[in-house]
Amino acid sequence: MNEDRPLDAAVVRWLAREADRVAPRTLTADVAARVRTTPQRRRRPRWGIRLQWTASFAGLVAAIGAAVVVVAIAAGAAILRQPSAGTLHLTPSLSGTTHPSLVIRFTVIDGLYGSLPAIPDGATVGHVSGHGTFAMSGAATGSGTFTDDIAYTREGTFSVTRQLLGPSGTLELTATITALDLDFNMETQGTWQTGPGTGAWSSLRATGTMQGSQRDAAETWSGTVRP
Amino acid sequence: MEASQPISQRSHVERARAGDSDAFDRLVASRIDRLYATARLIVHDPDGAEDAVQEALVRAWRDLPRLRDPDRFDAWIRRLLVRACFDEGRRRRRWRFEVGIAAIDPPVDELAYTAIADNDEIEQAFRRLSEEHRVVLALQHVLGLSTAETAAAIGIPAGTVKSRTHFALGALRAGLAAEARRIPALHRAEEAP
Repeated sequence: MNEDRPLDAAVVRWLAREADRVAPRTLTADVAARVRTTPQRRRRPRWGIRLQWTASFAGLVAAIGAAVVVVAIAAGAAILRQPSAGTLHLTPSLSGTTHPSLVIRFTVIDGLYGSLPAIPDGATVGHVSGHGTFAMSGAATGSGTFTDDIAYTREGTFSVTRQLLGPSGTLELTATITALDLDFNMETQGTWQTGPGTGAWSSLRATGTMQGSQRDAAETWSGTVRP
Repeated sequence: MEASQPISQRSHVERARAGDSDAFDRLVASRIDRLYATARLIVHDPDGAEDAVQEALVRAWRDLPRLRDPDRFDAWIRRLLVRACFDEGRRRRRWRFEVGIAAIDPPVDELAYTAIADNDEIEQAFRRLSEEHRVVLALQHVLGLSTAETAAAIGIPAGTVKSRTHFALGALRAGLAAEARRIPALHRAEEAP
């Protein structure tokens, strides 16, 4: 008892009477019935839990480690391999008004960096555009609205700079055009577009950063310019 | 209570822990009356007390395999009971209000009538106690627990049990005094023309 004053006798009697209450028989029966239908929760061993956690954690660490190793191997292989030669398809697009500029878009297909394992055959892995100045030769015939096809021939140099998409990082391409023979379709005065033609260029130089390492490659290319 | 546990009781707990429902029935049979009486005082409702006891015992059966020390069975089941009573009290406060109707046998003589009146006053005063005050009185006066055992059953410090007991008894006395003042006033009102 935590109270210094004793409880009244009537209260003590009342509490004693309350303490002597008997549970209904239905309660005992209900509990027994529910116990028969309630499954027990089995205890898991303490060390079992810890070992399970330890095993899970170790597995996770091992999986992460393996993934890191695979990535490192792939990156190392990419770094060590030199860019290889391949097929370069060009789709030139010339546009301009009074002073036209040359825009050449490169679509690299399964060639330039075909040795990289991440690039499947036929995939477009790079997109290069460039600009430059050049002089046109030839003459347009007619006046007013140009409807005739006019052949131009030019030689010059240009450079292109473009980030190569994909796993190789950045790539800068430079090239020297040795021959370019395009058909210019002059639809209106001062506005023109190219038709089919041929071209040749040399000293295509690829300078890029691939997977963190500096790689230079200088190669000479020639190809067919398609509209 | 734990100090005088017979060995057979420990074996019953161990067998029940292993899934023997008959052993659990025997364990329950010797405790259910006291648990029910305690729950009645805490919940203050016969049906609620039945529900609380049933819930506590079913939880005990379900979680018995996780009881590591069979000798702690009584302390553990008391704690389950108190928790079930609190749950029941919350549930009833939330969903319904009930007015209990006490069945009173006709008094046979003046002395018995006085006893019934006293009991009713005490019950009314006890009903007005808060749940946390009722539980400390019920555990100590119905189950005969010590302060430490009461504290363990409720999950509060022993000092809190002492202070709650002090306030509970004070509130009970104040309630009895108020009932004593109220009943003569009612008699006077009934006798007035």
